[in-house]
Amino acid sequence: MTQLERRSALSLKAPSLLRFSIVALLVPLVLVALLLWLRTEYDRSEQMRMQAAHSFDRRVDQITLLSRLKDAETAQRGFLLTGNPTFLRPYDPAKRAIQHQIAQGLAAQDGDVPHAYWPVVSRLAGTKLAELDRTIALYRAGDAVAARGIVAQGSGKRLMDQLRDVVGHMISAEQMRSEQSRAAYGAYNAQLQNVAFATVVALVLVVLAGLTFLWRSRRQRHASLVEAFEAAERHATILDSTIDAILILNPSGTVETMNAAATRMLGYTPAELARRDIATVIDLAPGDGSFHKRIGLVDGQLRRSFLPDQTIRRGDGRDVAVDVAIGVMFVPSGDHLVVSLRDISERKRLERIKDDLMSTVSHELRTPLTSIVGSLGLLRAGAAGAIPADAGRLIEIAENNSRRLIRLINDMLDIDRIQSGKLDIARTPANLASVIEQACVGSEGLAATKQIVLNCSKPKRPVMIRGDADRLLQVTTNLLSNAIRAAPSGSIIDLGLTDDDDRAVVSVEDRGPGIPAGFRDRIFGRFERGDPADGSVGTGLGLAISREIVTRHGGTIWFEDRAGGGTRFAFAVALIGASQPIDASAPAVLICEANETVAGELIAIAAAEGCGYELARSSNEARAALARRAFTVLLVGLTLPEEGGLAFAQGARDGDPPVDAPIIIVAAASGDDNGRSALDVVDWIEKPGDPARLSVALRTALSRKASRKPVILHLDDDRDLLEVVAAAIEPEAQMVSATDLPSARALLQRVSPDVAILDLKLADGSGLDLIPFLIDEDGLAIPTIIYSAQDITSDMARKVDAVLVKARGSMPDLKATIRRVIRSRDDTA
Amino acid sequence: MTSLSVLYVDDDADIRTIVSLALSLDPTITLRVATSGAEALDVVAAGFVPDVAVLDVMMPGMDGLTLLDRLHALPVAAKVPVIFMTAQARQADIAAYQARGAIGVIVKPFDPIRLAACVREMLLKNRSVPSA
Repeated sequence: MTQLERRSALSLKAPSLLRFSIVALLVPLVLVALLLWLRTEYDRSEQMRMQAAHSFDRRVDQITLLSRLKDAETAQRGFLLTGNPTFLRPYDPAKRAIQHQIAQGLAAQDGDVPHAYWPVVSRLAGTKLAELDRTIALYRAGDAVAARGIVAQGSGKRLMDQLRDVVGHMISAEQMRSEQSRAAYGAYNAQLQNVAFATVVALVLVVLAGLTFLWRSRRQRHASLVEAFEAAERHATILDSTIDAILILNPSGTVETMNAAATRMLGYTPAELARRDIATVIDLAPGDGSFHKRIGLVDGQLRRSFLPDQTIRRGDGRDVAVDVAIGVMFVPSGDHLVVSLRDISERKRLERIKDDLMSTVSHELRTPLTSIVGSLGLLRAGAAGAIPADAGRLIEIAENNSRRLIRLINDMLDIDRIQSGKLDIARTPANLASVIEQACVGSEGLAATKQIVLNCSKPKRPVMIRGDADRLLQVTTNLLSNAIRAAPSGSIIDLGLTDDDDRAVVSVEDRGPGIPAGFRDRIFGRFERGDPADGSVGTGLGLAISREIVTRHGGTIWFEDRAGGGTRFAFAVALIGASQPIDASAPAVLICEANETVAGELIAIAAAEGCGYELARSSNEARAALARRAFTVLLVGLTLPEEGGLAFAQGARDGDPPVDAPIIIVAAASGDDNGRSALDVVDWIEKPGDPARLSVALRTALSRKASRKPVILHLDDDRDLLEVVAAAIEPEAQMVSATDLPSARALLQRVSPDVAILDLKLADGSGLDLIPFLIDEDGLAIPTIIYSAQDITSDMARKVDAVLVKARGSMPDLKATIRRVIRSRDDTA
Repeated sequence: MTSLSVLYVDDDADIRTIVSLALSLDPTITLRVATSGAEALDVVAAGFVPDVAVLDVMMPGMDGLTLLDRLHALPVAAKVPVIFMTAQARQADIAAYQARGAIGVIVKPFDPIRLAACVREMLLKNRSVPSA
């Protein structure tokens, strides 16, 4: 899992406020609902308890009713037996209470079994009370006998018995209902108790679960703290014990933390550097924009994670050389950078010592060798008089060996440069054809010592590559000297240069014994030497250096067996193209030159100036190139085949369309430059072999502003003619047309034409009437051409730059006249 | 071939001899040799203004680069072209010498037979470059 994926996973584990809120709301809601339900249930049980209690009250009431009936009957009997009215005193209250109680009983009827008795009780009690009232009334009326007679009949007793019976049933029924209620209440209560118990248990469980969760979370938190502490301590210790300075930068490029080595190296305490920009000590990311953008951190990828040879500014103002490694730390608070700085002062010091040593070695060894080789060379050349043949041979041996020593020193210095990454390779356009020619000429002396013939074949045209001509010459010379060593005396060595679509191949073929099988793998290694037939040995470094040089050119070097015996060594480097593809953004140069050497120079210069180019070897080729595309500058050889440079240039200027690009004439020798004044050439180079002069000329030509299209005002009342002229001239110029004087004058308010073409006879006057208005921004008269069917007077003709008569002047005449007028205006300017 | 006056400065006696011999192969060359920068300045001060000065770079006392500056500081020799002769000829060194105003660098060990021609070629190349 990558660091980025781990960070995403971590962010997924972050506590969710939504989930937490839902749980936090749900728990109290459930509790409240439970309490509400319990409360309802309690109310219900209370109701049942109350019902049981009312049942008892009702039974008491029923017994009271019976007792009141008896009271009333006792009062009646006492009065009837004694005639003492005091017996009747409780009668009326009892009677009212009975009636009231019965009324209540009837009113409270609710269909229950006990209540169904109330109408019977009411009827019986009513009858009873009526009989009691009648007997009392009879007695009061003096008929005690009748009254007692009624009593004696026993109807009252029977009524009482019936009432007692009915009330007894009522009480029994009430009691039964009461018992049922009590039983239901009891059962319900028990159930409620169970629910309450279960609720309490559930609550306890919830609390326990909460506590367990809390405990586990606390334990986990502690474990995380311990882990974090340990990790932090571990990393802090690693950070502080490392020898490199390490700084952690937050996303804005300010220092967040730094280790002990950073304090030592930078001369700042962590507190002094905290929250300060890293640029305080090292300018890691110059430029504008965010820190990440400046340092090249895009989509979690750093553009460069290693910056060698940087300089830091210490707190005390001293500079320290460092190598900088940068890592990205993807943490939830943003992408942090880990910058580690390695002090390379000591390495630099050692490098300097080594460089000094190498410099001394190269100087101190080469100086005496200069004397030796120089002396031997002068001796051999006869500078000190004629040398006997044997002495000459000895001098040659001494000179050759001295040169070998020089090669060895040069090779060792090159190897050192390669090892320290200081082998400079120029990246300039170079003509490989001339490189191999030089190599061939340079090796002829060595080849001659073994009567070897160097057979050099190469294309006649320049073979342009981008690279270091001196170094490629070194490679070619090395391959040639190896071949000369390996080849038998009197044999032939082929030095060839070929080019295909995208690469140039330089090959050296000898007819020697070939490379031994055991040596093939090691041949490009350092200090690896073959066993040449002639017993001479090289430094063993040449091929290692050659490979490095070719590799640094982005090329390859290899060897293979030559068909027919011997070995073919070759190297290939990318071409920049004999005709460099012209890219739209670069200036395009047309090189018109047949001479290969001169063309090579011109190509090299055009390429060096960053131009695309096309090579034309004759005026016909050049014209074809001009027909294909436009060029920024033309470099034209004076001796261009077919027409000659001057005639071609003149033709190009007058062509259709005309070429208005700057033309540089390259003359092979000084001489007649009469054509120059007639031609618009920006330069006349007489020494094509001088690149600096050519560069200056080309740069001057390139800097000359590309001429813009001239603007031409055409005033004519013939709309068809306006269209025809516009169609003919538009490719070369921008046409603005008017059919009458007012609109022409209005146009002149907006545009400042380079040339005006006027018709004389207009519907509203003459085209000449516009002349006073034809003034440019500098107050100068705008060149004017009269293009009219009318002949004009010489006076009129003097006022204008050219006159063309419609009937006589064809369209090409008009175009040529416009061109001439514009050119003469430019010349005047 | 046009005559050419050359001032050659080198502290190494052997190389002085070789250069003298090598340049003497070209009879049109007038050579004055100096063994140090100070002596070279004296030669110029005494009235010998050469067409070209060929200077060794590493010399005790005044090195070739300092001598170039001092030479060009003299009004009479301000435009004397200077060619350095050195064993120290990495590309960077050569570029640095040219930046200091040298028109060319001859790398030691050199071919004594071609030395005069080499000096002439460098002068010719220098003359054809238009002054900025």
